Amino acid sequence: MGLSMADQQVQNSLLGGFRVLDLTDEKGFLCGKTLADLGADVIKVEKPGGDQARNIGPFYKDIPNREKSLYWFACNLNKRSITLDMETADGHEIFKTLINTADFVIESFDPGYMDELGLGYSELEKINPRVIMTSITPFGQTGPYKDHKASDMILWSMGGVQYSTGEPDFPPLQMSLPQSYFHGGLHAAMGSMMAHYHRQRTGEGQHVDVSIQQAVMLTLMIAAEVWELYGQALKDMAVILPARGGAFRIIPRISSPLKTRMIWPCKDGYIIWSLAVSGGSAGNIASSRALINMMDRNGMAGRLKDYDWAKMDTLTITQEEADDIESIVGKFFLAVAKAEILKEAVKTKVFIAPVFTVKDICEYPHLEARGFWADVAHPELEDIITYPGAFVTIDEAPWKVYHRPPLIGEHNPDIYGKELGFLKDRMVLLKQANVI
Amino acid sequence: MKKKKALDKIRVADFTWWGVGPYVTKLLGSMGAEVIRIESMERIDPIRFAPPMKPGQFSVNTSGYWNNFNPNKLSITLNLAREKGIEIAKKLIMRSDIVADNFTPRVMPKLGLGYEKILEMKPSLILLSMPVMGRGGPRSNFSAFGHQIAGLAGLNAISGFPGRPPSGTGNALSDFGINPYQASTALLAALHYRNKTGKGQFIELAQYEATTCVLEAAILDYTVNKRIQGPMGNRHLHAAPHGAYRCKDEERWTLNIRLTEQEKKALSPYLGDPPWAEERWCAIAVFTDEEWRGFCGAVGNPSWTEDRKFSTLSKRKENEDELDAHIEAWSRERTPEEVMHLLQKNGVAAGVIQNSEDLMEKDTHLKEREFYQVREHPEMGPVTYDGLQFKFSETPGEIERAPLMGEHNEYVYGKILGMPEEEINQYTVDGIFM
Amino acid sequence: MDSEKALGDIRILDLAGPMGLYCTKLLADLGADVIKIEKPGGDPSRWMGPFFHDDPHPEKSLYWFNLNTNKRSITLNLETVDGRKIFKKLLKTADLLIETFPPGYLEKKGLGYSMMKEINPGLIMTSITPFGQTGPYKNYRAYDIVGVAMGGLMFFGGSPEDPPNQPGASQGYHAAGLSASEASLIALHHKDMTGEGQYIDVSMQESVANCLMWTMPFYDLRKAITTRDGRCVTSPRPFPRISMAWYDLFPCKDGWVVGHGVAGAFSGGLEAWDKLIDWMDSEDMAGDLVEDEWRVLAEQLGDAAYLHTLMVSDPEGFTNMVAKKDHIDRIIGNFLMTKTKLEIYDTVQPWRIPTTVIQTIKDVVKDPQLEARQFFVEVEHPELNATVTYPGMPYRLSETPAKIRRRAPLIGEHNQEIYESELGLSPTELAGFKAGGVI
Repeated sequence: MGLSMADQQVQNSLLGGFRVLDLTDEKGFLCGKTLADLGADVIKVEKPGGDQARNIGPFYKDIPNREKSLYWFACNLNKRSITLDMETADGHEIFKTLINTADFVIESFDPGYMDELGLGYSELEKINPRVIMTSITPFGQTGPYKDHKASDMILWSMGGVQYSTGEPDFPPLQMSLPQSYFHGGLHAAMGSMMAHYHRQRTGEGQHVDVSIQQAVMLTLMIAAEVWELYGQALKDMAVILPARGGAFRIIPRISSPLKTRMIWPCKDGYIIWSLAVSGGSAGNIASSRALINMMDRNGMAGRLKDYDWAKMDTLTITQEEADDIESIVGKFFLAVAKAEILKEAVKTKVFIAPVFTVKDICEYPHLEARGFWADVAHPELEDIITYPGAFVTIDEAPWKVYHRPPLIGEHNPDIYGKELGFLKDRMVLLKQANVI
Repeated sequence: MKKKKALDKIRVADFTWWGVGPYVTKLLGSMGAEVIRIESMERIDPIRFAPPMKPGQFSVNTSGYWNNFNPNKLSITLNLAREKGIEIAKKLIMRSDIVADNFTPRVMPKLGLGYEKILEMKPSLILLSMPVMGRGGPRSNFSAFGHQIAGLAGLNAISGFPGRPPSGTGNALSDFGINPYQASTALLAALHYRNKTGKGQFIELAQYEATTCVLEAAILDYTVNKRIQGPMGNRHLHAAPHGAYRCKDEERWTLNIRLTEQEKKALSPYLGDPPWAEERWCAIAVFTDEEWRGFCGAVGNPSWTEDRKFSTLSKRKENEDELDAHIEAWSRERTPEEVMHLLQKNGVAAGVIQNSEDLMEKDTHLKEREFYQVREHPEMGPVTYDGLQFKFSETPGEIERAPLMGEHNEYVYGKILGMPEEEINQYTVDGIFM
Repeated sequence: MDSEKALGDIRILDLAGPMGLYCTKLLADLGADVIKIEKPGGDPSRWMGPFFHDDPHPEKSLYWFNLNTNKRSITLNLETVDGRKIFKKLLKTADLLIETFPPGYLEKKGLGYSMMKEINPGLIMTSITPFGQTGPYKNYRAYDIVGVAMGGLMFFGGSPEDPPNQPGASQGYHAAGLSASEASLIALHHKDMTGEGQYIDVSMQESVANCLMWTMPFYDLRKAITTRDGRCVTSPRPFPRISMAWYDLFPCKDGWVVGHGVAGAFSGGLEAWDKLIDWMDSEDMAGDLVEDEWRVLAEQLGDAAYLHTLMVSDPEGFTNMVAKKDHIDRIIGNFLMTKTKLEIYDTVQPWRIPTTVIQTIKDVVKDPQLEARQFFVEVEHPELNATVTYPGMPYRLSETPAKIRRRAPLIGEHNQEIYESELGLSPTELAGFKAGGVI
């Protein structure tokens, strides 16, 4: 096609030609990354010396170095980087100049910080009325908790997910990989796109206020509704749902809650199967029959060989009976390996799935077949690193790696020199004064 | 109890003269080394006649310049033009740990004191030679003095104001501020190596080369970027304001300059008429935004400080002439001391551009740190010496007055070399010890 | 084979900013294992220009390159508790600590000398500050210009028509750093002898005040103040320049030469005078200097004792003499204007007239003398795909030569080497310390 990567980014992507100034820290990285993946020119604005988040591991070959953070790499693919300290008088002026070139500003400072710098939305709007400013904060820009400090885990908790995660006999459990920031980032990307759509129609920019807590709460799905519907009844029974079930799932019923196991140990790891999806619908019933056939072929169906799945109803089945069925199925699972069971399950349409480790994911032929993985060259490391690829496949504007995550201030010469026309002397002055 | 001295038991045979060499050995002496200056009435160190001297005094012992750079030493007279003199010099060298000279490279070998020969005689010796141009090379035997070396080494080319004559620092900086310390550093590193291994060595410091080592990145800027750096006046690449600001002049109706009656007559054309205006200046340096805010506060936030022309460092650099004019209008009304204290209280680096009178009489800080040291001199009376700029917790240095010419002949020849009195007398009469 | 290093067994922790970088550079070049402790993200000295190919980048500062040769770099944040713990571990392995924090800073962090001495009794600690650790100005701020101002160097540099002049290339910082390197090694010798460490307080102001040549004695003995008079060596007021002919700065065809007299005992004597006049005469530019009267006068001007005697015994004769000297200088000056600086330099030096030239930085780099002595050295910078020419060492040691063995370190380049291999921290711990902003 003969187009350079940069031209492809501008011409063949959804957000080509739109510019994002990304002031976020890890709370908002995924927002900018998502927009960058869609082709926007996302400029990561780092403090001189580099983002603090470049200190977050793991590191390439375990070398803790700001240019080797795999965490930072993962969150900043396709972005460009400049260094700028907006707290200096010069930095402040430069930022205002950059605002003229920007379509989006995304930030995750404490509420009020940008206002204190004189760079709040009301100021930015004066400079560039079309600009969309998206703020990603733990609890949003308003409300009594807006100034509360938070970490990823705290937001996971305050979002209500942590309470329902983990073993019943243990304290609520965080996800072992930080999650809430990513949810916040994705919601911010979404919010920014909504505002963008509005701007395309009206020409107006606006301020988008993203609360990470709220973003996390939206992942609770039906939990809130369940509380609405069953709340009083469950409260009477001293049951708070969704509760931590560990490997189990607790199904609310009028009689007494039913506890069924979801995560099962197998020969080489874990698989997922649930009695809750074993009866009722035709699909569930077919799945259960196919599973019993599989067990039978291995001589392990026992008394379930002729079990009438059509009659199985999770609202009425007794806990004893459920436990008995599960004990037979569970024994079978222990005898088979993940891969075996997956192969068989796909063939015979059993609702059963392996619990993948990261290694399993990487070796999963399906993702490879879909071209999910992207090999990204890091010339400075003299190495190639494999990244997860497109979060969505779009035929007309396929996802691409435009450039590897930037080095600290890598694009200072492009932005300050070529674009803003700063002379070398000025660049040196600004560097020496630690403005850039 | 005897005070601990860091360089106790280290003996230096000091063949140096003029500026840089004696400075090296002065530093060693003040920290406890026994420095023996080998002088001769046949070849008197010209600095012994260099001004200043007290009114009416003029002898080999009365130069204030010489005294200040030769405290803590012993002086012997030894005529190296005589074979016997060389023989005795060798004996002294054998009893020493360090030998120092700052001749051009041809001199020591000509005296039969080339380093290879000496090291062969005593391998544990550390020999320091400080020729200007170094051994070898087409200009090896060219000579120069400290202030000239700065010009040669490029320091004058990057000092001063653009378009003005490259007059440099006004003194022989490489002799007093740069090379003695470089030389001592090498010498002391070699001493440490000797402490470990017993091995001595030869150190050559070419004064010209050593001076090009203190130009920060000026050399690299040329070798890498092909940029020939020039003078910047008092400005700095990334600071504004940064410079010398004129303050309120001091008017004097009398001069305390000490002159003899004849000198008064001879110098009257140069004295001028009262009142004498003493120019007063203060250096101010503002690098950060915080310092700039401190500065604005200190000058009382007049309206010009709020001008957008000065709101950022880049803008202050762009409008630096105008900025300096505003500041000088302010400083002109104040003494430099007022300016310094006021700015420092507001977190801004500022300092009086001090002259000798300021340093010796007005600077309360130097006084409290007891920097200047007064010692009684047999011919001159009380004489002030520069103190030491490093204070050691365990082995503090000390200033002892400079020696009279040949003052320690008896001690060195008698006690150190063990010569009987008659022999000393004989050599004195024979002109060996002169 | 690598030659012996004078300070090969010495470890130095380098917590120095611009005031002390040259000090630790010298010691590193002499073979000491100097560990530069940088703030996470890199030392602020890396922001200082000029930069490699003018690209302002913390890994491309030529200023940094020049002052950090042979050092190793780790990143460490002393503001954190863990950072201080790690620092204390490192401290046990060190002989010397060199720092330039404001007085009291380390003390406040629990790292004052008395505390450190408990950890490492033989430790030598050298603190370099603008005004020293004691006295009323100890907390005053200073950059180089304030150091050279307060130390008395700035007052007498330059010409009366210009403001006092700050010498180029931070000579206040250099004076302080050089004083510190000497002081540190004196203390090292004491430690070699006794095992005892100590604390050294170095003041930039006093370091500068120590290099003022004759200005202090002039005030001490005569109450005369030395002011700037446009010469390379300034005379105190009101003492006129009663020096030899062709003394100090003279313009020539392509620049400037700096004379140090002619016909004096140390400027070639009359033999040199005759050669100079012959040279001038051969181009019809000697004027009346060919006459014997001037020859005698030139010799008298070269004799300090004679001039002194004349001044006190015959003030009028003395004034006359000064006027005559001006006549000689005018004629010599006119002649010099027809010659290039190197023509003059290479012609008169062999006659033992100690004249030199004002060289630009380019002249210095191209100087055949330095080239013949192989003063400049080439240093590889693999990251930049470049070989950079550096000024060499200020001195040459026959047994343990100082030299550039390694280019200046990258930010935290030796974190693994020191933290993992030496202090035994695990990669997981290191990743934790990195995330916590400790390293």
